[in-house]
Amino acid sequence: MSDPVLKAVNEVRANLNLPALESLSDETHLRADLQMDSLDLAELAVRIEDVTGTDIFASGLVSTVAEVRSRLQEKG
Amino acid sequence: MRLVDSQTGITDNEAFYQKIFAGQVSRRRLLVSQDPATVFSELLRGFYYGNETLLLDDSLYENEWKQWEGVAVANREPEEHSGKLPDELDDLRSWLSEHPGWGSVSLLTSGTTGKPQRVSHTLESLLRGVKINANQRGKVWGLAFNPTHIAGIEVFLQAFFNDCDLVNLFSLPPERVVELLLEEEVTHLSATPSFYRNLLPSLGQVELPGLERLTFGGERFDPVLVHRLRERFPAARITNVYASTEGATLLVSDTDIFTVPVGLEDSFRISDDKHLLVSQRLLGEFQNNEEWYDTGDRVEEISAEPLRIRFTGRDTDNVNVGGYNVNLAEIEDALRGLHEVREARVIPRQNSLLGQILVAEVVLQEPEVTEQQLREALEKRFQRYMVPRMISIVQELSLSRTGKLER
Repeated sequence: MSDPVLKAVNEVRANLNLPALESLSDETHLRADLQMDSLDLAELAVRIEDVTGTDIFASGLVSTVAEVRSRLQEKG
Repeated sequence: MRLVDSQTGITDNEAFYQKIFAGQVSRRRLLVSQDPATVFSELLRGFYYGNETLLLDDSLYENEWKQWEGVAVANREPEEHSGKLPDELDDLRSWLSEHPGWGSVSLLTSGTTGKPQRVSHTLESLLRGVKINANQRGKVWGLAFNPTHIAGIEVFLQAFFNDCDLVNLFSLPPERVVELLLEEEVTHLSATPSFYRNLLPSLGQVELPGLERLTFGGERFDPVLVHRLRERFPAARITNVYASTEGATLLVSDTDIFTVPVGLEDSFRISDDKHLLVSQRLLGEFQNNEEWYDTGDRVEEISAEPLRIRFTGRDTDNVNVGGYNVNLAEIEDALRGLHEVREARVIPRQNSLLGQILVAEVVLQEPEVTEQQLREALEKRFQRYMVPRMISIVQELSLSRTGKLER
């Protein structure tokens, strides 16, 4: 089963000329570990929203992959 | 005059005259049609009998019809036309040239800047952008605009008053347009930049030696496109027109800089927020009590005397990305400037983190280019927040009923 978060992260990384990741651990920090800035995070959110229908930032900031997944589950 | 319509056939002088004078006469008519022969014959009939013709295209009819039922009848007293019928189209031409204030045509504005509103024009305001002289006669005009909109009506009047043929190209696929340009030996074409951008790839190496003039209007001037068309048709003269439903053709130029013509110096002004203001007396009749009408178009003043201006876009071109102001049209221009890109649209996408981020749709000229390469090309020129974060590659971009690219 494809992981929409991993897929979106890799799409953002491709545009930044960064290599694709094979997996994402829950503890991964979007800014600190993946070096995403706010533009990258906004892009990530839009890409995830296109696939899942959920805006991960709608109810406040998220910092880690676990938080992203939990936002998606809340709505799911 | 012949009206060539590949769907309905050819309407010649005689048939056109019959169409104008065979029907019923009523003071105020609502016409919902896309067929040029019907629209234009009704229009002329209205001008001749001193009536008001309300023109709506099919797409507006459903939504707008209700509003129209309550619209006040034209402000002239009901009066039967006293003269006898003209014997032929030539007589009608001269009669109308002498009575340009007699009837009127009403149109709805597109509503891109608010609610659509009714604008009423007499022949007088419509003919300001029409040149009538011996040099204009016998040309073949391509009708690329919707016949129920102001630009379509102006092209028709240009053809009618100079006894030119008119070839209907409106809403035809580009390959068919190319065939008709060739078969009918079209000499004059007036269209939106979007129309030309769609047409270029279908032109291939087709020679169109008879093409004398290409006119642009209705959208922002596109220097890259003009350059491509100049290379492709070096003998054709290129004209840029500034027009609106409210004012018909207001300014004409060979470049992106317009000079306000002698005699109209008092009719154009620039507001403090850099919008072009046009005097009420150059415009058709509509609900506007101000002496100066704000076009909503932003301009840069090139010189004050004579007044020379360049259009820089509309307020709606600007969006806010994380606190920074971005002009969407500027990014679209840059994308179109890349040789891999044929057409581009940049739109803001709502996002709760930054308010808005930019996304783009592009039609490619060269199929092998990737989203990432396009982004890199833009990143060389623009700050990161100005570069679209998602670029979708699409087969075509849909145009509005007026032939414009809409966001």
